[in-house]
Amino acid sequence: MEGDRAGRLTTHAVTAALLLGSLCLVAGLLRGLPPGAVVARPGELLRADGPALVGLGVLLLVLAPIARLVGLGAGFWQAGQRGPLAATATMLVVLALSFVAASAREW
Amino acid sequence: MTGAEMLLLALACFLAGGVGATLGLGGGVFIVPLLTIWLDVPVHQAAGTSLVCVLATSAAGSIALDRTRLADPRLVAYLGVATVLGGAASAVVAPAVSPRLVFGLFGLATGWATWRLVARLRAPAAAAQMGPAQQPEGPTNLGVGVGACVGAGVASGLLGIGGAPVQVPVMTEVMRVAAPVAFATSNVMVGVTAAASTAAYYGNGLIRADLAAPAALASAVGAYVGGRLAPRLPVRPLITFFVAVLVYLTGRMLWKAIAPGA
Repeated sequence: MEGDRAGRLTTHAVTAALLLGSLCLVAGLLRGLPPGAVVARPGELLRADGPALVGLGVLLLVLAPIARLVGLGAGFWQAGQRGPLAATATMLVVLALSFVAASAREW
Repeated sequence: MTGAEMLLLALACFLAGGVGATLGLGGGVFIVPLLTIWLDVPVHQAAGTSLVCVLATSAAGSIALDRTRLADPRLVAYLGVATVLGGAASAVVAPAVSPRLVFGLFGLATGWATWRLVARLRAPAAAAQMGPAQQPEGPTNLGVGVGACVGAGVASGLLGIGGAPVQVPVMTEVMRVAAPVAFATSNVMVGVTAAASTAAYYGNGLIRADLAAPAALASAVGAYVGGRLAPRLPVRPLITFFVAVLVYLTGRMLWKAIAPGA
């Protein structure tokens, strides 16, 4: 039952990330996207123009697999499965460090 | 890009997302060639943009597959860490890789995907359909699977694909995992791998907003629809058609790798 609940919560979190990310992509399209424009990076997101909204949408889409990993990790934690839990934690750390490094490039 | 071109791009990505969910290929093997051949997008930007589509299709496809509970969480953990490490590392160096080399590697990747689809065509009918599993012996050969998934991650980071064309056959043929479990597990891993690869492309300014938005939206819808319809679709005609498409794309990508002035 706990596993079912955790699974449903994970699905809801992934769905929310996908829907919110998609909304931002739609908003970016409606706002207007100049040809050749690249997505805005963290320091530029507050501009709230098309590329900034798409940039926010991309970051929200990235949250979907992160939510999936958190749900998996919670399941491994409850089941006492240390090996898969360590692997899942490693993936989360790599993802976090990757985006921190990517965001730090502009400074 | 005109409105008509955007609609055609969206339609193509809808089909790519649906095919990816139905055949376990992932949409990236179609989207990168689509962007580079049709819209003449620089290959590194095409790869970065494709990764956003892979994120969206993986999320949508996994939501559609969640009710089946086919994805194996332990396989996601052990194989996923390999693909994530491979993807994150290769995405960092990807912008420095020659575009011709990327085209050549992509041609090899689509050639491999073609060969895998042909193998499914030649398999007994029950094995080609994504239906209830045969009784597997797996998972076995975890070490080999982990090593191969590092390669899948490297392919993801360099080429902007999800890695499914490597992950699925490794799971089914080396690790003896049932095909539906392999497809569902790969769908989750693809999203995680794409997230790791996306970071470097995002940081390097290699994701096109004007392309990623319509392409990701359309491919997500296609993946969700494909994921729901997969058990009811006639797989063999689909595979036959997309073998032809992949043969064409393989030739075009290899040509871009070797042709002078391409």
